[in-house]
Amino acid sequence: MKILIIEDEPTLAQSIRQYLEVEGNLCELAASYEEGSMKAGVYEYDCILVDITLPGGNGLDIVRSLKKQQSSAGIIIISAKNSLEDKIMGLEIGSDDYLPKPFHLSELNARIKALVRRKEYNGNKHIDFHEIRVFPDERRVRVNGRPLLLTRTEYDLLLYFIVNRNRVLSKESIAEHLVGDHADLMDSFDFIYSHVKNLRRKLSQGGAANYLKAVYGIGYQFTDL
Amino acid sequence: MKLLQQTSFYFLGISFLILVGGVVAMFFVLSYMLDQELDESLKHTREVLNRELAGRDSLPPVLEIMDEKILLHPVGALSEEEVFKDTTLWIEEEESKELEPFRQYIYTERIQGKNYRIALNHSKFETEQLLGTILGLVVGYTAFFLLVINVFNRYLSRRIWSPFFDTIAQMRRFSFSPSHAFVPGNTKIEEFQILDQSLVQMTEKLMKDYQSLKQFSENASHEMQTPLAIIRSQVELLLQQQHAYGMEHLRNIQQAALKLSKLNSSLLMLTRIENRQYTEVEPIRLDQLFLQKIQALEGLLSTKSIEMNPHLAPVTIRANPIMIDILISNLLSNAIKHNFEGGHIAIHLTAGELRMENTGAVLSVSPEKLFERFSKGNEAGRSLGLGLAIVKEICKRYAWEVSYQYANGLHVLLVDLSSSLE
Repeated sequence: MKILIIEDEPTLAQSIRQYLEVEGNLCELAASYEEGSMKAGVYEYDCILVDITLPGGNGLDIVRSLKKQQSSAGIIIISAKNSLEDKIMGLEIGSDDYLPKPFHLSELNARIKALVRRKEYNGNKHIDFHEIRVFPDERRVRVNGRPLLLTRTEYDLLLYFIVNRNRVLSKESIAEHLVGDHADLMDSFDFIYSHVKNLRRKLSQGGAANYLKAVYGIGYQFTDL
Repeated sequence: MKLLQQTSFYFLGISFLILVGGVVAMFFVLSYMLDQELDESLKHTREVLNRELAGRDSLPPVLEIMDEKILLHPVGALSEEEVFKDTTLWIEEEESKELEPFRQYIYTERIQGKNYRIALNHSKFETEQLLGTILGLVVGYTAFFLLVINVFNRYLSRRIWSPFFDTIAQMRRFSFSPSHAFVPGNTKIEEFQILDQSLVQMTEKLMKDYQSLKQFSENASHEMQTPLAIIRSQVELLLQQQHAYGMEHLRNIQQAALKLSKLNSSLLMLTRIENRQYTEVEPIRLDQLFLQKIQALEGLLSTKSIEMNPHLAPVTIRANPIMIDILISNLLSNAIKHNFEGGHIAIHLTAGELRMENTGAVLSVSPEKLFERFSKGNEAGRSLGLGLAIVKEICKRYAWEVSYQYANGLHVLLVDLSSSLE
């Protein structure tokens, strides 16, 4: 997957790139409005991450011109301006998602994948992880071809683990992914723990291997054996 | 005391003084003039009297001719001296004697070969009556005049000051939202025009300052979010390497950074509500919104074994959807956060009132401080202490009364919505 990261803060852009390239994505960086709009206009990308405040211009203008060119790239606005006006404006002019800074890299990864999945109408309608197969459109899961019944939270949890496979996911990032802003409502460990426990049990009952590994003090990791 | 009352008070006071002073002065001037008049006529009478007395057979010491009362007193020599003065004399009425004011003219005259000192007296009764009538008329008329002027002045003041009160009303309504900007009134009075102009200048300056301050807060928050994003992403990348000894530290850094970003966005939210943004108003079905929110929280509730009992009547209010969203989220968060395992939450929504009850530990701060910023009821570790401050701020915005009670182990939050019902 080719991803363009238009972000003027080099450290942040680098860490996004580093996180995404582990999975074999190809990331390009643009640090200014000119560079960003040039690259976005000339090359084809699967996904473009755009910061709103850029040296030399407004990221929203890049989104506008991309939409004018009927670009097929998925667009995610990443902005420190966590203001609702910008969010609404961004979605209105055609960006596919909006992620306020600061965010978890794992969350960004999940959003990119969900976006690309939505864009690929004729591609694979499922995601595989060894014997586990997830059908995001129908929110269903099969293990070795047999359906596995999961609650909404367990399903979200599993999908988050699978798209962020082999990554260490902190409890905070998991909690935020599952309940959004309400993540601070409770001790996230209790909350995550009970759902992870149930998911683990259901997976092993369904015949899947134990991929889910606890990382002491931090959270979890869904790894190849 | 109102300005009008104050000016009327002074106006009446000074009018009264002038009236009294004027009447007193007038009394003396008129008295003097009337006396002069009387003296002239007495001098004239003297000649007539001389002829009359010369023809009389006898001259008794007291004579009454016409209106004059004449007292005769023989003296040795004649003198040129003559005196006019006021005096009182006993007058015999039918049954009684009484003192009456007289004007007295004293002179000496030779009558039928003898010298007499003659006191010619003329009653002042009539002139005093005249004086009384004139002064009465003047006092009466002036008092009437003052009364009319005063009433008219009140009416006029009210008319003239009305642009001023319009201006005041506008100032009261003033807020930073464009719909409440100050618009100068339509007045021809120069002072009020100056006032309006100054206010326009002042509010424009305020708006500008406010805008730059808003810009500043927003920029500050922006500038803060980027380093936070860097810290968090760096930590997340480090976490992937799973160095056995550094994980605990990384976790602490991550949690602190997370808390800092939440704090930052909550404060920004509070500032924005305070600064009267989010002004668009539309009808909102509160009960439906509650149901949505509760549904989103179901996972959390079941994990914590909290029982949720919503009793929601269909209620529509007019308010800003974003603010109401924040309000309800914060209320629910609060009820969950400060609850315990196996506790319960009850929501009673009726027309005009929202009542949220939840179980939970007794407050460790006083209830009055509950709605203040950074006041933490309990379990301070996880709470930012801004949730209820935001609730309070939103309620204040819509003039909803919000109150807190603790009874029978239940925390009860009451919001009076009656002012915004559809």
